[in-house]
Amino acid sequence: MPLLASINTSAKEKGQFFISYSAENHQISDLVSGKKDVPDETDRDRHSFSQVLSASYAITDRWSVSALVSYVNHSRDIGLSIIGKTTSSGFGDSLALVRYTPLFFTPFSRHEVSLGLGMRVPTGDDDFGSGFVLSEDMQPSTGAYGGILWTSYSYAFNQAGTLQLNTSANYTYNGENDREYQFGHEFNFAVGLGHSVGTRFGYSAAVRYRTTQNDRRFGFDVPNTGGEWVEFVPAVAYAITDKFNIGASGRIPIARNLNGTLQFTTSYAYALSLSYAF
Amino acid sequence: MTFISGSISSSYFPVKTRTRSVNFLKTCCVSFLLPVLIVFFFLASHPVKAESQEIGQLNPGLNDAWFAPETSGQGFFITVFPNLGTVALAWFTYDTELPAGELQANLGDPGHRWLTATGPFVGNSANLTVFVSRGGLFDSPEPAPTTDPAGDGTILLEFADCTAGMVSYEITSLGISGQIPIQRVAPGNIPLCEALVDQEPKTCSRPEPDKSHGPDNPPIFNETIISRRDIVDGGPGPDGIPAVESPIFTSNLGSTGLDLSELVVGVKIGDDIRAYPHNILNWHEIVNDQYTIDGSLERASLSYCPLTGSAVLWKSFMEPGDETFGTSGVLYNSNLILYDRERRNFWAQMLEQAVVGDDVTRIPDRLQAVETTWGTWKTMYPETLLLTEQTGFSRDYTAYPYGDYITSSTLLFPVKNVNTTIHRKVRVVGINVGDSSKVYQIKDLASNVEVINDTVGDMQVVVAGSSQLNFGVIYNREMEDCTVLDFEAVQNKLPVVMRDNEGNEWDVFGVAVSGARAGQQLQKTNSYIAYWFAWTAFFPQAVVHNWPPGP
Repeated sequence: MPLLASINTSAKEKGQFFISYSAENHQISDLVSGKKDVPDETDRDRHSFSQVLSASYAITDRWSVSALVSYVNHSRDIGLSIIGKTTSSGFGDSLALVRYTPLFFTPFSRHEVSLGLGMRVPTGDDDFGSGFVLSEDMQPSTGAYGGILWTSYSYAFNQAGTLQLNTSANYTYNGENDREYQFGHEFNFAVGLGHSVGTRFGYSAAVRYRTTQNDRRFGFDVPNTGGEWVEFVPAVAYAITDKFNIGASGRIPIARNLNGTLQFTTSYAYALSLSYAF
Repeated sequence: MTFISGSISSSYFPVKTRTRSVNFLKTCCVSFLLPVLIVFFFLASHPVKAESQEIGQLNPGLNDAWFAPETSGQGFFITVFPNLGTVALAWFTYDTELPAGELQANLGDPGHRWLTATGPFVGNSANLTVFVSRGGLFDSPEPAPTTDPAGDGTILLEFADCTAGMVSYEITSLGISGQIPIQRVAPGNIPLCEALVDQEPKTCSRPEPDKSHGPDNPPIFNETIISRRDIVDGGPGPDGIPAVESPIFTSNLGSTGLDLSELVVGVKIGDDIRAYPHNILNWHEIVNDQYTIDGSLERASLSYCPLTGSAVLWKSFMEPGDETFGTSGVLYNSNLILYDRERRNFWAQMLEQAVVGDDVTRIPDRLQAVETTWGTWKTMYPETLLLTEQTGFSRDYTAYPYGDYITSSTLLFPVKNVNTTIHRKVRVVGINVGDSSKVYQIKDLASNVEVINDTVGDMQVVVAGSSQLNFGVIYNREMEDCTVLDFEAVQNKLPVVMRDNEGNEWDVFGVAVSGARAGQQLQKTNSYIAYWFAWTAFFPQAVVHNWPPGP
C-alpha cells in the first residue's frame, strides 16, 4: 500500500528530478466479519510503519521513470497474551515505474491523463523471524515479483488549476513467493477533489475503493483474506519553497465487505511526506 | 527378634564335617542327633534337586530348613510371612575362627554362632537386615541377649524356584561377605510351594504403549526436537485465537440448537461427562477445564486443531503455578502448537509433547476423548453437559472460519510428507506403536458399530467405530493379566460398543460395564482422530487399513 500511495507523485517537466520521502503508520486492529465490526476481546494491537524513498526523473514532458524503495516495521501485540509483542523489520519491496503522460495541463488544456507500468521487485527481506517463520503479513517484503498498471485523470475546473478533480486507478498483479504464497491481486480506484489556496497550500479529499482477491497458498484460496474497502483519504500539502513540499494524508475506513468470516483490517492510517524537485 | 531367636533350636541342624564336630557329638544328645545326622549326611550326598516352577513371589511353601551341601554344618531356617510381606531367617553357623582348645562351653560347642535376619520381600527376593546376637543364657530371661538395632549387615535372599535359593551376605560389622547357594533339607514343602506358585497372578510382558507418538528419546538441539524452520506463524499471534478459560456448560440439551450431525469432542472422567462442539472449538482451539480426577479437582486442557481435525485431552501439571495452556500462534505441520503459561514451552498437539523449551520432550498425562456427532454422544450419554457459546468472546459460532477447507484439498500451511493415497481431509482414527502406524478411515467403517481385532507393531489392538455414528476408538486388547481378548460389535446398546470372548461388554471409553471384568479398563493407546494429510505428515510410515480396497 505505501508503494501504491507513492506512485502518484513524480517528476513532470523534462529534465526534472524529484525525490520524495514518506512515512506511513498503518493500524490494522479492526476485527470485521463481512461488513460488520466485531468486538476484539483479545485486545490486539497490530500496526505497520512503512517508509518509502522514491526518485523520479522526467525524460521528456511526457515520459518519466521512477524508482521506489521501502523499509518496513511490523508489530503485533495481543493484549490478552502473556507473550510479548512480535516485531519484524527490514527492507520491503521496491518498485520501478515508467510513466507516460499523453495529455497534461496547459493554458489550453484542463485535462491531464497519465499511464504507468511498473514492476515490483522483492528486493527486501522476507522469511524474517526469530527462529520461526513469520506469517506473510508480518514479512517486510512480499518476497514475490509483481506487476502494476496505473492510470490517472485530472480535470481543472479553472484555468489556474486551483480546483481539480482527480481520479486514479491501478491494478497490481502479485506473483508467488518461494513459500508458495501469493497475495491477492488488487485493484484501486480513487476519485476526489483538490484545492489550492494561494501558491503554497493545498488540500484534497478523495474516496478510494479497493478490492483484493483472496490470497492463495499452494494454489488454493486462503480463507479470510481479500474483500472490498471504501476509504476516505484526506490530504494537505504545503510548499515550503518552490521546490520543497511537505504533506500529510490519512486513510479512514468508510465501509468494507471482507471475505470469509473474520478478518483484522485497517483501523486507520496516516502518512507524512517530504518532496524536493530540482 | 527374641521370639524368633528363641524359637530356633540349634540341635536341629547337622554337624559340620570338620574336626570340631567331634566335640559337638560328645556334648549333645546322641539319641536325638544320630538320626538327624544320618538324614543330613544322606541329604548332603543326595541334595534335593528337582525341576521346579519359577517363583514370582515368595510364599509360605518356602518355609523350611535350608542348607548348602558343601557347608552342611551350618544351615538356615526361613519363614515367609505373606500377609506381612516379610521374611525371617535364622542362620546357624560357627565362629569365623576355631575357638581356643581350652575353651569349654556348658551347652554345645564354644564355636557355635547364630544370626537372625528379617526384612521385606518383593517378588522372588528379600532384602534382610542381619543381626548378630550376643549374650544371653540358655532358657533364661536374664541376662537378655543383645543385638545392634542398626543391624550388622545385610542378606539378600533370592529364590529361583521352589528347590533352590541363594543367600548373599555382607556382614559389615565383621567385614565379611559371600554367597551360599542353598537347597532344602527335605522336600516335603515343595508341593505346597509349587501350588502357591500356581496361584500367583500371572505376570506377562504386555507391551506398554510408547511414551510418545514419536521416538521416545529424540535428539534435542537448541531446546527443540523439531527444526524451528518448520514452525510457522499462523497469523493471529499468541492467544490471538483465544482459549476458553472459564467454560460454561448446560444440561438443558433441548435448547442448545446444536444440530445432531455436528461433531463434538466427548469426555467422560468419572461422573464428569461433557461435550465440546467443534463449532466452538473451531474458534478457540483450547478449553482449559477442570475435572474430578481420582477424587480431586484437577485441571485438564482439551485442544482441538481445526486445520488437522485432531482433538486431544491432557492433564495439566505445572504445579504450583498457571496450569493453563494458550494458543502459541505458530504451527507445525499445520497443527496447533500450544504453550503452557507457566514455563512457556511449546507443545505440538499431535505429538502430545513439548517440542520447544526447557521441558522439551516432556509428555503430559493423556486422557481419552471420543469424537463423534452430537446425536451419537447424546444417545451414549444423555446426562452429558454441553459447552455453551458463553465463552466471553464475540464469535459467530454458526460459521466455519476456514471456508471450504474441511472438504477441499486445500492446505493453508506447509506440511511434510505429503501423501495423497486417500483424500487429504478424510478423517481417520490412527494409532502409533513403536515404528508402526496405521489408520482406519471413519467413512469406511460399517454404518453400524464395527469392531476390528488387529495387530499394529507388537500390540494387539481393537478398533471400534461406525461411519454412520461417526466415531472411532482404538485400545490395547491385551489385558494386564496377559489375556488377549477378541471382540465383536454390540449394536443398539450405546455407549456399549463391543463384547469380548469372555462375555464382558465394553463401552466406547474402553471400560468393561458388565461381566467378570466389569470395571476394568482397556489400555489407552497413542491414537486419536485426525485428517489423513496431518496423520501422514507427522507419521509418514502410516498405512491405511484395507487399502487398496479389495475388488
